[in-house]
Amino acid sequence: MNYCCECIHGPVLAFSIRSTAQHTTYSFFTIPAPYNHYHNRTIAQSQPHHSWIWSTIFHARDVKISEACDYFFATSQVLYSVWVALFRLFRGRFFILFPTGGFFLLFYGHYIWSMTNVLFDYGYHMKINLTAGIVHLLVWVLWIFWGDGHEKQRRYRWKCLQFLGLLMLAALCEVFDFPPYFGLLDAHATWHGLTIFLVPLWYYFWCEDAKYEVTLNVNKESRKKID
Amino acid sequence: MLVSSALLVLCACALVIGVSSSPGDRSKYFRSCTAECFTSNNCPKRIPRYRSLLFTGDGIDITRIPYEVPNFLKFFVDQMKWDCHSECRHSCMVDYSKWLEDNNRPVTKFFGKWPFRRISLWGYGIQELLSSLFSLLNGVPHFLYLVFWRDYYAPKGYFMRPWLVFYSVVCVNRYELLL
Repeated sequence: MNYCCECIHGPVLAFSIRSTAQHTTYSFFTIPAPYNHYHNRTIAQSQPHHSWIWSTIFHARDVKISEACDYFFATSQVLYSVWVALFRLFRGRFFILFPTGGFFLLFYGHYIWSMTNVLFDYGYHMKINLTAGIVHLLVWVLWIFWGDGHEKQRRYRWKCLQFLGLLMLAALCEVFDFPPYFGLLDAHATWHGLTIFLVPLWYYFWCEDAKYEVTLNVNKESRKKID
Repeated sequence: MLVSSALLVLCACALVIGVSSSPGDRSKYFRSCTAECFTSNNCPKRIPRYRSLLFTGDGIDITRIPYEVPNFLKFFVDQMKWDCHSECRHSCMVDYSKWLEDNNRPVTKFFGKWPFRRISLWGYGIQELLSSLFSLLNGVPHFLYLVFWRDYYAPKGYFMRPWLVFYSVVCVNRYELLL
């Protein structure tokens, strides 16, 4: 199992976009009529075309639905991150993690219920997300120092903390909520703009971890075969 | 499928939400300005909703009634449109912010939001242009990793594989819905 975590960035995006565009435009002329399924395909493809509009719409107007979906899905991501961190800390032991998953689901349900039916409270939302973020950080710190045996061999183990530290710095924007410059760039926009550049760091960490774990498993299996 | 159904449930819940208030919209100027604007422009009292197919009354064959296919995208886009009330609120917000700026007062929020510049794109007035743009861009790496580079960060034989793939799905759902 040898692969290069640094080598995966390539011109995939341009290729994919070009291929879909060509397919949708030229398939009608190039593929013979009994086989092209042109009219079926137009119906089937209408859904993906809509999907790209959504996230733009969701910040475009501050109506209730858009705001609520923005908040709820943000919280879903944060809570799920904490769950994943716990899962990694305990190396996927199901007897611990199904109860915690149930707890998180119940909490998320209560959060949605209280936000919709009691009070749509930005402060409450913010508190939950900040607390979950800090718990997330603590779980990863635990993993770094008292993880699962051979921590010293994991040279990549600081990379998760690097990502989380930068994320916390970006989150400071959200805490010190400053008014928009030129009516455009406020704290929330800055936060979103900064996190774009942090996403690849997080996947890079997971890639390194996957590489280490998979090679470890392969070695174990080969040792079994020898025995 | 699961994601889109979850979205619909959440949006159904979101229809019952109240409105948050801020110093901007609590100010006397803003309240009187909006009230005056509503009356002078004859803003409608009730927001029109889609007709329900469940409670059509007794003795009526609902299959005979011509009805519009419920189009959720159309419903959401209609919700996003600027109506009489929102136009009034926006114009009053702009006036009040300008007055504050001219008198060297600090900027205030309106309904929990900063007063943004409205930018017109394809006939729709867009608030928070940069936030929406950056959200879209945030989803792009998650999508790319999910679709093209899944086997690198979550290879077969790695015990986190399904949970990490689902993590990407959650993130894509957050930034680019209904994928």
